[in-house]
Amino acid sequence: MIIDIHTHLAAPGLQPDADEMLRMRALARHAGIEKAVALGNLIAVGGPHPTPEQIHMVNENTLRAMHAQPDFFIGFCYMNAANPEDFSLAEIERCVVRGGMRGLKFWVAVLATDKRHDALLARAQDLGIPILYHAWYKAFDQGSGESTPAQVADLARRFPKVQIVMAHLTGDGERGVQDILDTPNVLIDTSGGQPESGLVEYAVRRLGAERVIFGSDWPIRDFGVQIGRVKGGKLSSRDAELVFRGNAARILGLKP
Amino acid sequence: MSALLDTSVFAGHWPFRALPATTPGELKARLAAGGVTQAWIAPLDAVFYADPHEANRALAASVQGDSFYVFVGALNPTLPAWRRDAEECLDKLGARALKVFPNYHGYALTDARAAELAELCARRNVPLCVQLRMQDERGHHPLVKVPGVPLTDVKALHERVPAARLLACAAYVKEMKELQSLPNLWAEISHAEWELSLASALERCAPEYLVYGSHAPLHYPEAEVAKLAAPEAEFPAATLEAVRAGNAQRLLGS
Repeated sequence: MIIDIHTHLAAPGLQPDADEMLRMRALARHAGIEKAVALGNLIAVGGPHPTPEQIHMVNENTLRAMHAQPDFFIGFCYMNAANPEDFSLAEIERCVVRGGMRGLKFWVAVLATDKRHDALLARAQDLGIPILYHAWYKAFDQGSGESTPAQVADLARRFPKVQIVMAHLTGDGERGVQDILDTPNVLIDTSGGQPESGLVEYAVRRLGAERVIFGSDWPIRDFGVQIGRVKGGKLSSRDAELVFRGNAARILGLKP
Repeated sequence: MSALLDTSVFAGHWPFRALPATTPGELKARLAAGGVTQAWIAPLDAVFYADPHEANRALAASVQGDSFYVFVGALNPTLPAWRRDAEECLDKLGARALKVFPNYHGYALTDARAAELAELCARRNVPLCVQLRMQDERGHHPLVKVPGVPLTDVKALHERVPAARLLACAAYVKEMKELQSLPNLWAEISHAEWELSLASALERCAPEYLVYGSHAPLHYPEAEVAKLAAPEAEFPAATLEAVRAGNAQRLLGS
């Protein structure tokens, strides 16, 4: 069975859509996925610079999804490091400490090198939870707050005790894989972009299977396609087990 | 085993990444393992060669006599010799379709010479495959940034030469709505991905004009074929069968 480190819900509002959750779960099960990390609602996200109110809405949506399907959804607390620090720390308390979320999610509000992350990463370190950070090297339309893998590696060097899942293997590319070679606290997720051949096995060859983790980016992507890209990498059964399940179980503190 | 026709695969080398399965033999093994029974193969080297026909001759020789492959000749209709190369592809090299790469070969699909090629394809009763892109533009090499071919240009070519059977290769799912309900305008699904990819494509493209394509070996064929493995309740069996084989057979004129 598979753990998906990178999914989203899309129906807007505080309350997740019951039909969407059922459909997502049915498609996930059909593909062999047993648990999914919900990183925050795509529509309620408020664009690249979410306000505290929008962050609250996204996280409330995730909390309710977790409560609706506790054996399927694992929530991550959506963050914007540009928001007031006291709000963000209170949101971590509400969603992680009291709400049961198991990680933090950062997207494209500010670059990973921005020092406004520090208090939030320090709190993640205290709690022993991972963060998931969007990254991409774009030939076209890189956002002003959109981090490159090199910038995520910078964050990882500043917080070497925090496990960081760097998103989007296809977007990160070979350069991105090399950016994190010497930051062992960073894993790369397989989600994002087209299923371009050669990258999964390249990442495993360079980083080791312990640092490559399955993610789909559903519903932007398709569970079956994203699983197929990892299978297409022709990994050994040991390595495939780590990518599909073992690494996620380890960093999320689930039973092996 | 039911037929599965893959309308867009390549053999050859890609300058930006060491791909697995670059020869017809290696690729055939990967495709057949996923259930593909016939693959339309074009030369990958033709994308960057100054004369793509050199790549046609090499690939045609290597797949000659292999009934698994349908050879697709690659042409650049702005080159002076394109007409004789097209004739050679169809008459001597066994091509049953032709393919163009307008954005990599430096012309617009609205160029009159592209229409002339489409007219030739219509006259010879073979499809013309239009490669919209080779890779997600966001991941292009910093020195080789090649915007995709606009679907509006494909529609314009279709309007100019309605008798030509056109296959749009590598359309994104969001682009497919441009193709809806246009007779003689097909699309393959190698770059169509959203939630449940085939369902998303079928929402935007008429089911009788949608065909399977993997874009292998640039995409993992194991990933692309998963688009056809949706839960049974998602699609009528006849629709799935049409996308797997029937539509492509009609497109090929067989």
